[in-house]
Amino acid sequence: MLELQVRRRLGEFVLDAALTAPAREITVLVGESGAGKTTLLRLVAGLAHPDEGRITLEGRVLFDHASGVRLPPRARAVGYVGQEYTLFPHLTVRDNVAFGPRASGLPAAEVRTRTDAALARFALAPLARRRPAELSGGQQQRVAIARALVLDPRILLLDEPLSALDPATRRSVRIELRQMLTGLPCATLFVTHHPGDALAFGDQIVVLERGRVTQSGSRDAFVRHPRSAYVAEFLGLNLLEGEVLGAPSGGLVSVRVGETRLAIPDPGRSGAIRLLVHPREIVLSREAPSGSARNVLGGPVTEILPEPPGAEQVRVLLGTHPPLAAQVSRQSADLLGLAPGVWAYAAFKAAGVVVLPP
Amino acid sequence: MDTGSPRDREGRLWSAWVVTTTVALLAFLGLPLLGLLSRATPRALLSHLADPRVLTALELSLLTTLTATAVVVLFGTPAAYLLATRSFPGKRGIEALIELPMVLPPTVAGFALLMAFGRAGLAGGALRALGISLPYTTLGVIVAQVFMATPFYVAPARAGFGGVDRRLLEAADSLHASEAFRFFHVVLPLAAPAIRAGLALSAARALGEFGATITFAGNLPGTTQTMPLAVYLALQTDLDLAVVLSVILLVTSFALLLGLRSAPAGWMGARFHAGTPGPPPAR
Repeated sequence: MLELQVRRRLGEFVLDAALTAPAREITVLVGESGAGKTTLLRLVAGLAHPDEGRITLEGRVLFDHASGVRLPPRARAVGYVGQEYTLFPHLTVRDNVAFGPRASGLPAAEVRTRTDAALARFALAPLARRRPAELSGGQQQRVAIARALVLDPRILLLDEPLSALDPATRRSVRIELRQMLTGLPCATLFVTHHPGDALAFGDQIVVLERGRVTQSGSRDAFVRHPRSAYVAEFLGLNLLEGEVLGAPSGGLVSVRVGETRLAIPDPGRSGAIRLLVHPREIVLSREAPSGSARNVLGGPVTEILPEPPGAEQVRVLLGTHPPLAAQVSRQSADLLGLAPGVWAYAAFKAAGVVVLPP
Repeated sequence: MDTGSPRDREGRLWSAWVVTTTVALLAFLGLPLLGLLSRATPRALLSHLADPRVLTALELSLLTTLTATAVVVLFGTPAAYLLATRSFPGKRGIEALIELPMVLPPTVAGFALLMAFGRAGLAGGALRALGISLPYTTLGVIVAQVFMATPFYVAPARAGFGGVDRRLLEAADSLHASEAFRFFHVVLPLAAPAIRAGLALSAARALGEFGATITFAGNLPGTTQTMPLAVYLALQTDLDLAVVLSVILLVTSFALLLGLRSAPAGWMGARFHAGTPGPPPAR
């Protein structure tokens, strides 16, 4: 297990993050470019050092500001696969894979057995004499991972492993990569800016925004309870920005979003606030509803989109203020006679609003 | 199609100017070589190739050039690596010091060498105590050549080391490579074209060295009279001999230059295709 708590300043930018990555699991670090993902990976690899904090791997201290421990990359049991794979262009596939064992000063016989085993395991034996320039993107990635794993690291670090590929090969390589990473005895820390990759790979998902961890937990929790604007946007949730008005009453407060006032659960703070409303929480009707929902907004339907997969659900976009997206079954959309231009009401309960952490 | 527009005329004028000046420059550079070769009749070449004066100068030139180049590589490689990979106070000054012989008039360099390593020079006493005398010896020729040729190796080598992709260095680090292992297995192979360029340039500079050599080491046949010095002497006594010496130098220099130009691509290509044929590349 990797445990880290680090702080590193790069000009105006401050990376201040804590995370754990358990062995035998894939922990995906997801965030937009510039969030500090690559920096964090480099701190674990020892290619850069934090200003403060502590990094341990299986209980062994790799970095500790307090006691001055600062192991160089070669003393860490870390396999690092950088962006673009960075294979040695002048070496064959075999020599690329054998680089680590040779650099570690292992005896020639062990270099050979380890290299042969890694080549066989990743189906690289037929390519052993090729140079990186003669390989496809997917093959290069296999070599890079074989090269990183040949020394049996305690953690495998992958920096945007799919970003160097063109969209056509991305799909197949993604499947291949999933297979390669399944069943690894070490921890895997996988960095991506693509929430789709996070869902496809992550047993654990850590969201990094502007140098800070805004959410971490299992994949299920990530989908069910998103806690960051970045994730919400990807999942297609309604993200609203408003301001708390007045004091709470009955556990609810009033929030001004543009010209509209909404009732939400008391967040225990005032001022600017960001809210999430899941499209499934929104009930649509043609007449102003008289139910228990505290929040009702009227507006014309602007667009109706089928929701993959299966498309039994549709996504109804409303020109309310603020605009909302609702998810309803195709059947009920038809029953209501929803079509672009038709006036409709969106209703949701105060309890259906999630308040994002500041 | 309108071929007479001002824009087209301007284009033709530009092409004409570029081509004409280039041709003129080539003629200017080529004519002296042609003049030299026109004097090199087969008879003159044959009669002088075995001339002991030619062989002595040739032998001395090869010995000193090879030794000087080896010394330059031995000491210049670490210096180039240091300059390419580290930053430290005073680095600009050190760079200027290494590059200085490139722009220094060679006679001034020779004079400076005398003031440093001559009998009365700064280090003259220390050298004498060690039983070493540099002026007017073959060792002095090598010293002059090393002094003049060093920057021609260090500059390209440094550029080559500095041009190695930083991400490859980090990949090597994360694969447990020490800096020395990384240097010999990643940096040096990838900088090889630049190293070869530096080798050829510095060897050519050492081979052609005249001013510093004659000032510092003198002009003694068999001891310090290298090919360029022999050419200068022969010009005043035996023109045919001067021609033969010059042609040999010309051919050697040209071969060095060709090696430098064609080696990188050719070398890489040869290594690339020489491997036993594997299965066709899968895409």
